[in-house]
Amino acid sequence: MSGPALVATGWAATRGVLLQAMAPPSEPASAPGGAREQVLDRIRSELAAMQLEVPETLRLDTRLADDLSLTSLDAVDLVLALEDAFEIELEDDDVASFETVADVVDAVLRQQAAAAGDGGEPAPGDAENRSPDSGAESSAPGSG
Amino acid sequence: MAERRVVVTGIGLLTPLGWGVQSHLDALRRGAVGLRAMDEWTRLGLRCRFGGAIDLAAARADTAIAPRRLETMGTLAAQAVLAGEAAIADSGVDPGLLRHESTALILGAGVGSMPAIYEGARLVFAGKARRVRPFSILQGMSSAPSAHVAQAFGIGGRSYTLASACASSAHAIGHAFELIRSGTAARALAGGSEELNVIVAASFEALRTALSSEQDEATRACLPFDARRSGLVLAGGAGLLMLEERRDALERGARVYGEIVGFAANSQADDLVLPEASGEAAARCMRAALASAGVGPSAVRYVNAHGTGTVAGDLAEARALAEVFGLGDDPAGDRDEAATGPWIGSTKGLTGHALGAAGGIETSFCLLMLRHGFLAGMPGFERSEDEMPELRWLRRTRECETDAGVHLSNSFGFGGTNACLVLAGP
Repeated sequence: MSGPALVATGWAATRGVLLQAMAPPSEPASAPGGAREQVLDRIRSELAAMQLEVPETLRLDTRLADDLSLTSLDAVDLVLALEDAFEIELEDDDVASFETVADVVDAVLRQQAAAAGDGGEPAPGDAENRSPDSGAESSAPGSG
Repeated sequence: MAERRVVVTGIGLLTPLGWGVQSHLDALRRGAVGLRAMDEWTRLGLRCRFGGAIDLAAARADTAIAPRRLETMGTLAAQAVLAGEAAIADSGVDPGLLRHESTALILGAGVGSMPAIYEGARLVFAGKARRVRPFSILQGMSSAPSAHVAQAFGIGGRSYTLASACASSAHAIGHAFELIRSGTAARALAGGSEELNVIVAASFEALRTALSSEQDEATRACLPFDARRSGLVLAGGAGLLMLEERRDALERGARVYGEIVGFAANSQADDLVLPEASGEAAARCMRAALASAGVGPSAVRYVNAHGTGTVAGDLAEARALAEVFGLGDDPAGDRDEAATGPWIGSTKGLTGHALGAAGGIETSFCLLMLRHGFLAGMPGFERSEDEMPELRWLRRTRECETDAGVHLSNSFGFGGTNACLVLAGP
């Protein structure tokens, strides 16, 4: 057990391997379906790396607490992982209000768009997906 | 109303000797030594060679707690949760009762999870303060053991973690005993957890005289009260016990390991690390514990000494024991073993010193010995030095009656803090 290994928790190490193995997102956020699908895929893989049970049909309207049994700390841990993966930083206020997968996806896309300096053009599906009761874009690619 | 009596109905043990009650019974009877060479410490430049590592995977194999939950609570709390789960199951207490406010949870730990604090600090000082994980504070906080156990089992009464270095879980059990005896709680999960890691080891090594210098043989690494002793061997582990008001336990037909009959605690202001050479405060603490139990020194059959294997600590404790049991008057140079008085032993030669968990582990050992009729010996012990009072050293494991005498368990901690528990058979 080396020094770093001592302090690396099992899943954190797993996540590190995953991060190295998976290429960073290459598709611009302006490609609506692709970007959304990419974030959703990433959430799926991060949840799996966190040793949480991921339903086969992870949907945008999947609820973090009720459907995935994520605690508030798990949600923050997921945010950390996504921030690392997409090289962005989410707003603390956004994180505090996450209820559905769609909330997380939108926050990521919004920050990607901001980071890309595209003049503030809202990320695809942004406004309409903010509410957990919005139907959560169940028709979005990859959500079924 | 007569004072309530307090019995122990469940034990959860995770130590370098193994996992669970049965493996500890076997190990204690045969005098197994659970210490091993810590190669990773050697690679990192530490001089101390041996440690008491636990097999967390063995304990995890038996649990109903989700892997993610155990992972994110960190090793310190996970040990407490796993031992707590075992103690609850062992006791047969209705899990629904745990949610009642009459159920207390009093744990002890020497330090929070140092690796969690280190990992957070490493990120901060690398300019990555925003990368610190949310679990950092929940693992590093002093109360991590009680916090996670309370959440895992839905404890409804008071819950907190006491810290008094190597006496932490003895104080925790003593406090829980007092809560039940006074009627404040009906039952309590009590004990402690301590995480073994290289950061703690390096911190102890920095004291220069605390750790064993043995480099070759695990069986010689920790030699309490022996003239060849060179220091303590650090260990990890957890020992949690279910304490219940005796009448409740008997009414529900619970299996009883034994009874906690006395407790006392005191302090001496002398040196932060070194014990008071005379052992006077420790002797007063032992006497007070016996008085609390309503028994005299002659009622004690066995002392599970603090006996860590340090040169100064063991000598001071031997002086205190000689004082309490009236065995210190033999002229120097007479090395005949005392033929009277209680058997004096320390199980730290087998387990190493699990610091804040030691009291929980050793109280459990005392109760197992009381219930199963044996006393665990000190297989490495040959003889004490001439300056040390000659006591009735427990060299080999002895079989004995289950109902003769009480056991005294000593725990002393940095800062001059002392805790003594008196245990009786079922």
